[in-house]
Formats: sequence, structure tokens, C-alpha cells
Amino acid sequence: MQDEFFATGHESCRDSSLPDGRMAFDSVFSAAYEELRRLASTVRRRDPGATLSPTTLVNEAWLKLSKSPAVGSTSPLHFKRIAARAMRQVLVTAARRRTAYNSSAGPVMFVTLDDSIADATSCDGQLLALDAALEELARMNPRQALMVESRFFGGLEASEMTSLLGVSEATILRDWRAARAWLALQLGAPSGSAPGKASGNV
Amino acid sequence: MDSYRWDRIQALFHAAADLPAQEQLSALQAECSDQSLIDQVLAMLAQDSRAADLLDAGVERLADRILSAPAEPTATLRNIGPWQIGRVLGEGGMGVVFLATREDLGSVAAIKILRDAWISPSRRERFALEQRMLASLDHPNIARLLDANTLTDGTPFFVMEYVEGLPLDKHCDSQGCYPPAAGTVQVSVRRSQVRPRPGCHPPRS
Repeated sequence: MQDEFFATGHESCRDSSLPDGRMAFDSVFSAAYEELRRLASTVRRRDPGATLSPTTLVNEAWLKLSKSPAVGSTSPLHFKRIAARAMRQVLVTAARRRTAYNSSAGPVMFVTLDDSIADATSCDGQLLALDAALEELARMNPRQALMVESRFFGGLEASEMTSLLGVSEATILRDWRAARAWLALQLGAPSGSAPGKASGNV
Repeated sequence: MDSYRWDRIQALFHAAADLPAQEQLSALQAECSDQSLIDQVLAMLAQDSRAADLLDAGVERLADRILSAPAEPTATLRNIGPWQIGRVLGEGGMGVVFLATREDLGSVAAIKILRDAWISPSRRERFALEQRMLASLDHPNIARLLDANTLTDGTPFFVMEYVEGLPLDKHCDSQGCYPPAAGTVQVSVRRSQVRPRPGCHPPRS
């Protein structure tokens, strides 16, 4: 799975300033993923009432990881972009596990470690639908998908996205508006109408 | 949908997006004769004019619900081989450590499982490195590695000696000292005291 993952969606965000883009991305991604996981669990344990904001977690992860050799050579902006991808993955993994467990406790769920059967099922469904729609968007226009991911999961500002993607803020806003309308349409599609292959995507 | 069609849809969408609603249809029909494209753009324009709960609110609320599941083993992970899985002893970004017992031998151990093993090769590599280092060390102050394998889905784990005691941060709290900064933990063994296990190479420094 991770091979597809690195072969497709990550092309656009490899850091060409690093000697081996893929290796560097992998190690930064892993570090970010682990730190986000750890932060989410410690924040929740210390203060069950705290709201887990991905934007805050990503910022905290940067404060912590920027001192490490693997991550230190990455710019804060690139780190945020990679961390946005890691954040998406953290959430999707958790949602998938719970969904799989709810449908049947098959062998896939043998390693369900950290999920209780909470009333989060509808959130899981929404997140997984968004994830699928973003993958479709990445095939239609990789830059737009990257932009939505960075903004939504990493909390990047429009000004940060202009530096990251090398386009004007007007283009960012335009791209966002169309992507938002299309994504909202995909998410709002009634489940019975099988959006995707059968009808919804035109 | 292919990129070309998406570009067409976006161009039509932007051409009509800022027009009054009653003029949008005729503007689209003037630009394009493909009814399926027009329908798609009209549906997007309808979304454009209303609030989108999820997309506008950001991921906070979803993340909060999704990540708030408590870190306890569920009924799905009851045993690994002969080991019965008990409570969570600790967890970090990389993995989770469970207390495990073997009824036939009456022994207790700690089992560490790599969480989300598929996420990247470097995670698996670091986990394997930790395992190899532990296997090569033999000292009373270092928990011994007892076994290692993978679960049916390929998730790696290893079984190690269970040592009772407080977690480092709690120990420091109770002793009134500060926990050491990450990466500076001093293990109170002398290198000369650590004997490689028979058949193992000594750890490289």
C-alpha cells in the first residue's frame, strides 16, 4: 500500500532540495506520523476535555521535531505540508480500523489496538468519504488535491500555499472554491446512488 | 473524471459562479451544449452557495471524535500465540506495549507491537533495529528479548521480559527529579558489563 502511496500522491511534494527525495520524505513522514500519534494520545490522556486540533498538533510536532536530524533539514513549510499528509493518514487509519471492526471482527482487525467502539461512526464515514473524494481529485488535478489536503489537514494559510505551490493567491482561492464545491457534492451524494463509478462523478 | 473534463467543468463553474442565480443556466447554455456538463456545474454551483459543514468547519471536530478513542485493547486482540494479552503498559508514536501472560508456564511478559506497520519502510526498519539490539544485549538492567514474530497481517511484534516499576515520568515525579530530555537517557550499565549473547554479534557503536 505504501508503495502506491509514495508513487502517486507524493510526487508533487518531494523536496528536491534534499539528496534523495523519497528517502527524506519517508523519514520525515514517519517522524511526523509518530509524533502526531503520540501527541494526540498524550493530549487526550492529560486533558480529556481538550479539543484535538490538527493545526495545533502539527505546530507542536514541528517544535519538537525540528531539532531532530531527520527533520531539521526540512523547511517549516515543507514539514507542515508533509505533516498534513501524515495527519490525514493518522485519521484515516483510525477511522478505517473502527469501520472494519464494526462491520466484522475479521483477521484485518486482529491488530486493532486503540479503538473503542465510540459513537464516532458517522465521523469515520465522513472522513473516509472525504479521503476517497480527495484521491479522485488528485487524479483530476494533483495541485488542487495537495492544496485541499494542506489546508484541511495541516491548517496551512493561503499565503503559505502560494509559496508551497508557486501560484498566486487568486489562483489558490479560485482552485479552492471549485474544489470545495465539487467535494461538497461528493460528500453530500446520497449513499444509495453510488457516487464514483456509477453516476456521481460525471 | 479525467483532467480535461474537470478543466472544462471548472472553467464553466467560474464563468457562472458570480452571476445571479437566475442567469447561471442561460450563461452555461451559451457556453456549452453538453447537458451532462451543465448539470454537473449547476450541482456544484448549488453547493457553492450553501455552507458545507465539514469543509468549512475544518477537520477539528472530526479529528476530535476519531482520535478520542481510549487506548485499551479491544476484544479483537486477545492473544498472540500462547500469550494472553492484558492491559496496555504504555504507548508511543511507534507502538503499543501490552502486558501478556502465559497460563501454561505461569509466566508474564511485555509484548511490543508496531502500530500501523504499513505506513512506511523506515518504521519497520527502526522496529527491527530495536529488536536486533535488544537481542544482542545481555545484562540484568536491560529487559531481555524472549521472542519475535509477525502477526497474521504482517504486523511485527516482540516479546520481552516484563519488569515491574513506574514509568520514567512517574518515577521522576515521585523522586522529585526531572525526567531526562529525549535522547539523553543514561542507562546505568557499563559497556564492559554488557556481554553479547552466545551466537550474537556485539552491538556496533
